[in-house]
Amino acid sequence: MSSDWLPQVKEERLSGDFNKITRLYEQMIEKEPDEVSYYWYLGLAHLLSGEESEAQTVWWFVLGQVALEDNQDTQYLEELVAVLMAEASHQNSINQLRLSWLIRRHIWELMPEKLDNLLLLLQIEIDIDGFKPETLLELKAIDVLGASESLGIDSSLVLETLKKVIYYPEEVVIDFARACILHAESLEYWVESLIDVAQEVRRQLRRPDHSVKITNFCLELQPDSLLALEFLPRFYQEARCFPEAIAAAKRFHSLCPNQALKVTGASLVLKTMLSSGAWTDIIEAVESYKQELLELFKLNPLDLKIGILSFLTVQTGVFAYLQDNLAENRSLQNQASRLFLSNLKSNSNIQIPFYQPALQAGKKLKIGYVGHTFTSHSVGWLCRWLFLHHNREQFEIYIYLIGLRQEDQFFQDWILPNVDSVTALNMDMGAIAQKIKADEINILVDIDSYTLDATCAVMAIKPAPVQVTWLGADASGLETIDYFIADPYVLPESAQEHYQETIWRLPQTYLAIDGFELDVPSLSRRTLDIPDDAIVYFSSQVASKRHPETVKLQLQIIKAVTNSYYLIKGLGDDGLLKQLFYQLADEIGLEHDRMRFLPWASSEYVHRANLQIADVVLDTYPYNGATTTLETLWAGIPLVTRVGETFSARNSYTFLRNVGITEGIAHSAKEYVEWGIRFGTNEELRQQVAWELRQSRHTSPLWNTQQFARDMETAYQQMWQQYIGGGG
Amino acid sequence: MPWLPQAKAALVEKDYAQVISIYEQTITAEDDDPCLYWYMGLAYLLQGDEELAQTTWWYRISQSNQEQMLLTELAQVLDAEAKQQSIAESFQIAWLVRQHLRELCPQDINNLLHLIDLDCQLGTFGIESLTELQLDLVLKQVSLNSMDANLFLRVAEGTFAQLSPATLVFLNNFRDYIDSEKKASVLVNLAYGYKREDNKKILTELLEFFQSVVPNHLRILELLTYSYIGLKDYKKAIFTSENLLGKASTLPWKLRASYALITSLLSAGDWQKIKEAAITHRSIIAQIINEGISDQDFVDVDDQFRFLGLLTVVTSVLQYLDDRPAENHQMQTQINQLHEQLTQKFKPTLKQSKPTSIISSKPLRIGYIAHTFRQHSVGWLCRWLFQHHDRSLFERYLYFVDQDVNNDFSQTWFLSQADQARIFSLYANEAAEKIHEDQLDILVDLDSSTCHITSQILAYKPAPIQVTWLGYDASDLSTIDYFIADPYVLPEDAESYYSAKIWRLPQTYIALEGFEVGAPSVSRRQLGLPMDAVVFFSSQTGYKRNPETIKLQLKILCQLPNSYLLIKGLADQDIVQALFTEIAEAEGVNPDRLRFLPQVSTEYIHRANLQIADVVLDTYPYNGATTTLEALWMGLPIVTRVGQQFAARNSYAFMINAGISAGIAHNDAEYVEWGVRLGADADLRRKIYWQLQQSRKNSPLWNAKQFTQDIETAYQQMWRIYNNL
Repeated sequence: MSSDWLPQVKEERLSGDFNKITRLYEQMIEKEPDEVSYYWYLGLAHLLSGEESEAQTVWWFVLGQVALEDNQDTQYLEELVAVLMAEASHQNSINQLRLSWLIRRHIWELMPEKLDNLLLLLQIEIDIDGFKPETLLELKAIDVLGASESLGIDSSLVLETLKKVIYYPEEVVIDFARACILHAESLEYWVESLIDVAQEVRRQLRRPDHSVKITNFCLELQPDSLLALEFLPRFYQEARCFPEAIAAAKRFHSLCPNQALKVTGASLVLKTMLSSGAWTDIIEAVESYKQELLELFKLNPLDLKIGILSFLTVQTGVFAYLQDNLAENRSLQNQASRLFLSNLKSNSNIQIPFYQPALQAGKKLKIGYVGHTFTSHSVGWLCRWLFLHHNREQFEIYIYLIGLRQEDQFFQDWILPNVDSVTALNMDMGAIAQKIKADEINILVDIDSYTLDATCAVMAIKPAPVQVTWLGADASGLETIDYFIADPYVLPESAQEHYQETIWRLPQTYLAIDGFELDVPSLSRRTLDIPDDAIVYFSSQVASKRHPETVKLQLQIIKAVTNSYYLIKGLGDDGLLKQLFYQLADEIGLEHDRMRFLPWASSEYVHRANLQIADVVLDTYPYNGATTTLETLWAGIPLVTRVGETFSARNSYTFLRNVGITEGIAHSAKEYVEWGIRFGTNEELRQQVAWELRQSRHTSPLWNTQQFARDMETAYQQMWQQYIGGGG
Repeated sequence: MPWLPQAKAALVEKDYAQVISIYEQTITAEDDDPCLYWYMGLAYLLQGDEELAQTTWWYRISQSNQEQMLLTELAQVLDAEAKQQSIAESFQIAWLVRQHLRELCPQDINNLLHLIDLDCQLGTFGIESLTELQLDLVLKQVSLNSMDANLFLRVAEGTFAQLSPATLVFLNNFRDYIDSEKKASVLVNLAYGYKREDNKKILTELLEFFQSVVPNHLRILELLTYSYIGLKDYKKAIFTSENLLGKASTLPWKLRASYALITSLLSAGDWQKIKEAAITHRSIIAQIINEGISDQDFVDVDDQFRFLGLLTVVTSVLQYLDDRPAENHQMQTQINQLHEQLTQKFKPTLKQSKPTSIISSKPLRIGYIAHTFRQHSVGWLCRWLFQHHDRSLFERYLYFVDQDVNNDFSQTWFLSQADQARIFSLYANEAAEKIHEDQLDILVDLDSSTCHITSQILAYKPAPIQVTWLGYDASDLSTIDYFIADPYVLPEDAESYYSAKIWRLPQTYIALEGFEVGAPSVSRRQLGLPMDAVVFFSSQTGYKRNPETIKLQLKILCQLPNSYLLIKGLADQDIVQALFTEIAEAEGVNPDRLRFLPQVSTEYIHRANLQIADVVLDTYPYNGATTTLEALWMGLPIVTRVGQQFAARNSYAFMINAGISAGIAHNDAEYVEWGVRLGADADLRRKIYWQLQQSRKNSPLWNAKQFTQDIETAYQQMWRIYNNL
């Protein structure tokens, strides 16, 4: 038999003239009616020209005949399938995916148990966006995978198909995945590949619940996979399954084989507890994490893997939520950053040149800003006016986006029109550093601090001669960063001895904004069944800021002020948070009805509008509100804050000072309660603060973004002068 | 002669090689019919072989001595084929055939028109394609007698559908042809069918072109006036409407012209000329009331319709000038009687209305009609009603008149809140029939006299109970049963001059839950205002800048040396600036203390910028409505002068409903006193700020839920009255 198209139809196949091909094969069949392969190709020509039923008629005419005559139908069937398989891969190779799909679909009808065709059919169906998870049932894919005759199939074909199928967030794909286990080889590689998909599912589909399922499937494949165990708590947390997240983190921690991983594990346990609000068990977790960290610093390894490295810089920040201990928090942060930097330098896998920065400045000073939060994120909302007011005659402004696309609407509205150059190289820290170097940036400012590992890495490479950290969080402690921007209030006078960076204090405020956008409110006292004359205390914070010691003080205030209510809002595990508040309320005999837990608002705009419901806002400690404090002050509502010694414990303090308000600033637990009670019982005082806040919009440094931009620019010029004067 | 019958099958298959071979076989020494060559060439052309096509044709033509006759014949064949291809929507092929036809007959004007038509179809119409056709050269050489007039109209319409400078270039070639007002009218009407938000400017240029061709065309002058207003080109609007008034000779046109002129002057803020214009307007209205109007005064039905639409709103502009509600409403009532007579014969036959809810267990079906269910004052204010309606007792039917609904705001607040939504275009009759079919119990109109189409619809009375709410002062149509008010917004004796019955809700005729606010874009520092200055603020359109009020505002400034007045609002910047400056000088206020602020990009920023003010100075006799509510939401004190008419009592009603009495003046002297007091007394301002902050908790103005319940009770009572229950 002939196992390819006739050579004389080559041209027609190229031009797609299947009518002509059909005619030719018909002529050939007239001449040689016994040559079976002519029928296969005649049918195929019909199929390719869209005449499916004609194709089937031709094939079944032959298959039916031979079946009657000599019972050789399986042989003929296999011949036909071989012809079709060859054509399907040919069509695939010339990118005719739909045709290839059509052929494979017909092969499936002829031979549904043929696994390689089935898998390829699924892949194409997904590639052409025609896939629905029900198809797996329709095609009986799970049965075919499990059938004994399918053993021996190429494992990588199964994996490639599984990677595509498992992306779809439906239960049936997990059943499909289980059926694939039979064909799995090199389990570690399978797990790695599938965890990649799980991350995609989280990022693209925003379905962390499905990422959890994929990861749990990976653990069926390889029960002790550290990779899967490390990702599982994160996915659980995003899917808001907090108890599961904590359990998974603990499991990961218990299995960690070396000190670096143990740090990661302990940190994960702590972080998960913090974000869920599981404060009751936290002290033990803190101690464990601290011990693991100190142990690691003692070992001082120089062969840390990248994944662990990045975890290091980012996660020492958690102590800010737990203790107001400037010396210890900074010491841990500085040691972590030192370890990060030395490993980055010694790690041969990271091919990053550590630059010797250039010296000269052009006519204009080139300022580069690097970060991932130039978007509708707290830092984005707060930093945007600096760009609006930069003096572009004296400064050239460069933006380096990390993991953020230029098309981002916030970026387009607020940043892009006000800068000279934008570079978006996703997360490739080496390339970003090279670009910064090539742009000959004089001063590089990071707005992420330790909140993103990639930004830390860029700063660690030191692509610019002068490097500054501003606004993102407390300083990261990297030796390659020269200055940390502060003001007279946000760090205590003696702070410098604890910082690796030189603290640069701006004359008034380390941040100024021109306000916030607001929607219309969606909450009212009526809908919450709170009387008009009640005093409403309010706090909106993430669970990690709900330190029980502060919650206790807040509840004392509520108890002391009759006819007062406490509205509590924030991300975290609702059950755990309520449990925390109720337990603390019970300790002092406060009725649960005096606390109201509010749902998360549909947008930040609605959230801000809803602040109007509050008479007094109660700040958190040791980790203050930052954006929430600013929103409160903008809304004209009195705030009670407790000032501590760390950056995080002094943010509300500096904002209040810079808006000209001293009422509500407490330096001890006792003062905190006192201010809370005073505000609740003294309407005249609330009115006075509200009015001062209203008037402050005309006069205070906090709302004077133009002056702030000038102050920053003066700082940049002085830093540059010092650099030149000091010879670098 | 058509294609050979034996070639048909191959033609359908597009097997042109086959067609050609059939023709080759047919052509013999004996049968040398030229037609066979024409089709054979055509087959080559369709196959894409242009050169062979031409060779075939020219070969046959050169064989004969009757060249001209053969050329004509060939042209006919090509023309017929091009038409066929167009019908089959093979525009690219039709275009190709016509290009060959053009080479044969370069001066065939109809063929050129067809080519332009095809360019429009193919989306390739533009200055370039016109230049290529050398239309101008051809038109210089040929007479237009042979031009197919209908074809011309169709092509013109095609160019309107893609309105661009090329459209103007195209039309300019036919300047001499468009010599009559009638032709111009037809074209302008066609062009207006393609009016969109984003082609205002080019549409105006098109009108300018027509105006230059037929300078005395009243309708074009009228359209042009409103186009200029739309483009904020107020000086041209005034100039054009003055021109229109000069040319108007019939009573209907005089009214239309004077209305256009007043509208232009008001939107520009040109108060110098407005008194005189108002006198003219009143006298024309009086003349119409005395003499009446007959069908003979109109060119055609459209003309009559436009006039009728205007008639229902014709006194509304007078509210900006004087606070004389009785006089204006009586005048409008008389005008509306005339309107009723004239409109009678157009009235669609609506069967006797049958309310659906005779059985009281059924929900009441309430229709709401407006052209403002979007980011418009009325849209901003009315939106909560639809959210809070009790769905077990009321069905919400929303009728959108002549407005774009493809925006988030309309979708979120209105379309998604409606049990049934209908979108109406310009035809009042059809709309009235549709509404009638919906068998409403009550139809609520939110346009009042701000939209001609809605007025016309309401005049047909498609619902048994018709109510006017929120849009504007009541329109005096006899078909409106109730006008929704509250204890404050109309004086006690108002019943005597309104044709509709006044229905007073117990507290407020509107409530809202606030405004979206952006981040501010101006500051006192930027404007160079001293820190301790007192800043007065007024943001209003030119319509509301009555010089009498400006005088009072400047008297306030005069008494407070360290005060400034910030002025903002849609109008002609120069004219308004001159107006304020002149009055300031007369009142002895240094014009430096006036600051004119530019418009900002969004209403969100506008609202945020209110924070710059210490005190808002309201206008009279036409108050701010949305601007007052925005100021109250932002916690600002307001000075308002209460008058008699609805428009002069809005701020008063809102302030009372927010629990504020400071700033309410009942005469000029009080207005100045309150301004001075609020400017001088920071403690009083602080108190008001606090009261307004607290008012969000419990005042009727911010309680949209309570308001909804109140209006629902009103609907139920109206329905009971109607059914004599």
